[in-house]
Amino acid sequence: MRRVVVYMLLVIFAMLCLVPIAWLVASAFKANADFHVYPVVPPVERLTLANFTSLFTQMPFLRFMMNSFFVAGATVILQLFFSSLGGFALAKYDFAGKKAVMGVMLATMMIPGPVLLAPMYELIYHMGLIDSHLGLIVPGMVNVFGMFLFRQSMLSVPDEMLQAARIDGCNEFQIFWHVVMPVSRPIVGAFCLIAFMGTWNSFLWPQIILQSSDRFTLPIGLNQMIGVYEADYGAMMAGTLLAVLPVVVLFFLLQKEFIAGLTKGAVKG
Amino acid sequence: MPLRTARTAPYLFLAPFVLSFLIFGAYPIVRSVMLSFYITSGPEAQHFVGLDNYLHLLQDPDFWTAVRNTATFALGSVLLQLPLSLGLALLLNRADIHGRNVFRFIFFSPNLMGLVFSALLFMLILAPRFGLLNAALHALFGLPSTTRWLSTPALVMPALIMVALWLYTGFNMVYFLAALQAVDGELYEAATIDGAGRWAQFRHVTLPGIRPVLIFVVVLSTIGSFQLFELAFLLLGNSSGPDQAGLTIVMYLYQNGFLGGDLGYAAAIGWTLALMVLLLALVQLRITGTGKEAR
Amino acid sequence: MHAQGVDTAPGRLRRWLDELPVGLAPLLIAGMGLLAGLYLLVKPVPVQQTDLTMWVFGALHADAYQAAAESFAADTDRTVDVQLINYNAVNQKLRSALWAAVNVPDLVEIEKSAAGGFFRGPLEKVGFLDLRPYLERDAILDRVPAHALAAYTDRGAVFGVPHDIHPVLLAYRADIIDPYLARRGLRMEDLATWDDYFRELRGLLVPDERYLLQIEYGDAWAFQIFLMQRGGGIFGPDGRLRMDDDIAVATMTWMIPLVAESDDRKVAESLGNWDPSFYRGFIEGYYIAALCPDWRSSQIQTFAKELHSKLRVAPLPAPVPGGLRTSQMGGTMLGIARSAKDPELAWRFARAIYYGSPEQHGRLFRTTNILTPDRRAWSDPAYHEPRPYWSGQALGEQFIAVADEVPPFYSSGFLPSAQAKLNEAIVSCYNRYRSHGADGFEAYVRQRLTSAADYVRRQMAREPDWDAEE
Repeated sequence: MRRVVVYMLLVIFAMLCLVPIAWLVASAFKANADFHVYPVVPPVERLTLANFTSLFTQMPFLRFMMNSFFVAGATVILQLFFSSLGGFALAKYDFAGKKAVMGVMLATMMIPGPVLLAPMYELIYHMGLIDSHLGLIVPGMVNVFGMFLFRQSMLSVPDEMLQAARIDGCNEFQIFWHVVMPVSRPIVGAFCLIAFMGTWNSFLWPQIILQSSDRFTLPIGLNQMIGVYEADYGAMMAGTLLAVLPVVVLFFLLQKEFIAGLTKGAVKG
Repeated sequence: MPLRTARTAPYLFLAPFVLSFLIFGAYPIVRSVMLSFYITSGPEAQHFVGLDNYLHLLQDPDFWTAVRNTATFALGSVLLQLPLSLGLALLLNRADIHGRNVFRFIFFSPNLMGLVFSALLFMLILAPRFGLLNAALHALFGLPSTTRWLSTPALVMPALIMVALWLYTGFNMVYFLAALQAVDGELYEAATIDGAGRWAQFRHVTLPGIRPVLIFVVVLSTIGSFQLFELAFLLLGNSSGPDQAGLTIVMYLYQNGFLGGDLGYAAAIGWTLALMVLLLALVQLRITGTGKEAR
Repeated sequence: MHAQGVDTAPGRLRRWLDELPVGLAPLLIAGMGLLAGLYLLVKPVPVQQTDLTMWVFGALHADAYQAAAESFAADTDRTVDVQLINYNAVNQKLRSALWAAVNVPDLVEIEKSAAGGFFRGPLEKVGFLDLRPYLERDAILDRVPAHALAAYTDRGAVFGVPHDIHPVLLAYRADIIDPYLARRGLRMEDLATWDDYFRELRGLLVPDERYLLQIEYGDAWAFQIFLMQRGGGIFGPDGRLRMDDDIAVATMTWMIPLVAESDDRKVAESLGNWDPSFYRGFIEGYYIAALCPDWRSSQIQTFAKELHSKLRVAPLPAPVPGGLRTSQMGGTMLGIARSAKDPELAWRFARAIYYGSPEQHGRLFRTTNILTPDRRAWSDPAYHEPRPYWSGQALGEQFIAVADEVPPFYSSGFLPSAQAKLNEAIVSCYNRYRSHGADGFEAYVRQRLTSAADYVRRQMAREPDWDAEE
């Protein structure tokens, strides 16, 4: 295929990806009344910051963002630790029950969330974690998908390295921490980004667990704007834009690691 | 002693997972399974019906509508997304393309937006007459701008598929790109020497080379598609769309459980879905696995 | 990727980064999490142990009740925590809370169509208290129109008190219609039936550009308004399903052709009910009238500022001469949880917000245009003020005038299911009319509604007789 055609196709698809996002950016600065007048972009003189002021007066947006950061940060770190540990065990050890564990892992990925909502709610209440961020973090401590990812990636770590470390007198955890993890850095980067995105966008469960509005995370807080009697579209777009920025920035900073991680980790069947 | 700790180590390392699973997985699962044998209207109001919930749902036309819709979504998503993301990855993988990183970032950015925020965005984009999509279609192709995407039964699933494509194509493309770049270049050289053309190379070098990732993406996409809920819920609200065109299996569960109040029946629906997904995944893996052996 | 070995600060930093077992990503994320955690620590929100908790899903309600909670605290020295919950989440949360029998709020506002689902089960186990004794004791029963209680009554128990009545009027483009009618010696009030309406305004119809009425046919919203206007309903008293009775068939047979006719015989259209397109359509004159419950009038005011002083409201044209000139759509109830620790206190607060002073209700009316069911408040001046937006009409008086005739709405736990089936039926009938026209249409409608109703009946048949269980 000619290069020009290839470029054209790529550019067309790039446009398709970008246009909604560009529209989001434009809408965040568009006055509510102009939403129907200018479907795409308002003229420059009509751009306004009113949506942002409206957003911040209507809700404690900064607090929502901090809540999201806190929950995501804590969750990702815990998930990283436990999933990598588990993935390591599955990759580099043979032990009784290994197949069973992997079978269970696979099965849990297939259970639709809403089935377990009611029993989980009951459980979290009895643990006293309703309406707390811990109620979000603790159940999500281990990420099964992450365990698969790490297992995949760690399979390709040469056994000789581990043996050498054992001979040097390292215990298993030290091998994990000082030998395997540094080599797995790319997959760590990839996993962190995926896990962060997963928690950042998490909606159903937080919506049930969190009750005080000052504990809300961003998706819950923003969704609140769609009321029964009215919807402040401009502020909603402004909020969405701000909510998406941290992920974009994070990806920007970690792009190389992320790609490298996927390259090494997910590729090997 | 390294060897002794090596024996207990894996159990210790997996302990967090096992513990977490027992508490937050096994217990709710068991409770939910038990629930599925009751019609309920509250914790103290449960009426034992044995397998009747399952029997009822199997002859409930709404359940089959949900299955049909969900299957349509899954089929449409996977069948459209696979060639699209693979194709883009192939294009991007060419050695003579500049700005690969830029393109990659752009293609991936929809996924960065995340499902919830994208749904909020697309609610407005899909609005009739003055939403962005209709305005664009009208300007570019002269199509009527009054298309009611989320209010016309035949258009609801296509709209959902469209949003899902927008969200996930870039994501899958990144996987494929990584996989493509891992295929040994020497294999291509050997194939060229053997006189194989582009298409033959694709079939005999590329496809087998990325086979594991292909399977991974297909199976994961299928499982994910069958669990479609949040996207439909955010775009259609509590309803299931016009003529129930947006009714997915999980939405059907939600309606019966959380709107209708029968959490027992909802549990039965959930477990049926889990079984279906499990079977589907097994079938897919078996098909592709057998294929490998046959070669 | 390695630094040139130069022992500079960036070089050292880079080497230190390289030596970390886990790399940059977790550090960044952990760092952000830590900062956020610090922020949350430094700015804690006081954990309030209040005497009452209340869940509300409308932002306007939340604001009003917060204010009420403050004066309540001043009067009684008891505190109320008013929590704003997303509309779509209320069901989920309440269901889960009731299920786990934990963390149930003392008071909760629920939307009408969802309420029925919470009344299922044995009477004494329903999650809400029967408020009839309170209503009788405090002599509130006669202050509230009886039809308003119907939706929240099950097996004789009043599980919720209504926040509103939501009568439906016609909001119309007075700037277009009134002059047109005047030229022919008519006024809007003279169009007493729908037949009159469509006949007299025919001259204003321009296919693809101007329609005479906005009717949404992608869901059952408009249909239900027309159905109730004709004395019909999805459910009757005692939970009987009647979505396929003669009135329903007649309503469907009448409504569908309005939107499904071809060319210049089509008189109604819609661009959507809930998104900006609805307002845009009105502003541009794509349709010149819309069905308007009281709450919708305030939405129109907010989102269609261009229509200032161009709109008026009028009683709905009746289905038949002498018929009902209003209908009903939407509603919110307030329930007190059976598990409330101090029901008497909860009731006091409920009374304060729902049956308070006339000025209180008047204030609510000024901001939301919502008419309270509490008759005593209707004398407040706020209901009688002329509204510039509505061309000087006293909006409150218009709604009050029809308030007592509003038809009752009966709930059921199977309402969501019935509504879903009704949606399907509407779409099928629409498609049928488009392809086959009026030929055999009524028979088709009857058959379609019956099969939809039978589906719901089968579901209802599975329901155990909860009160016989004991």
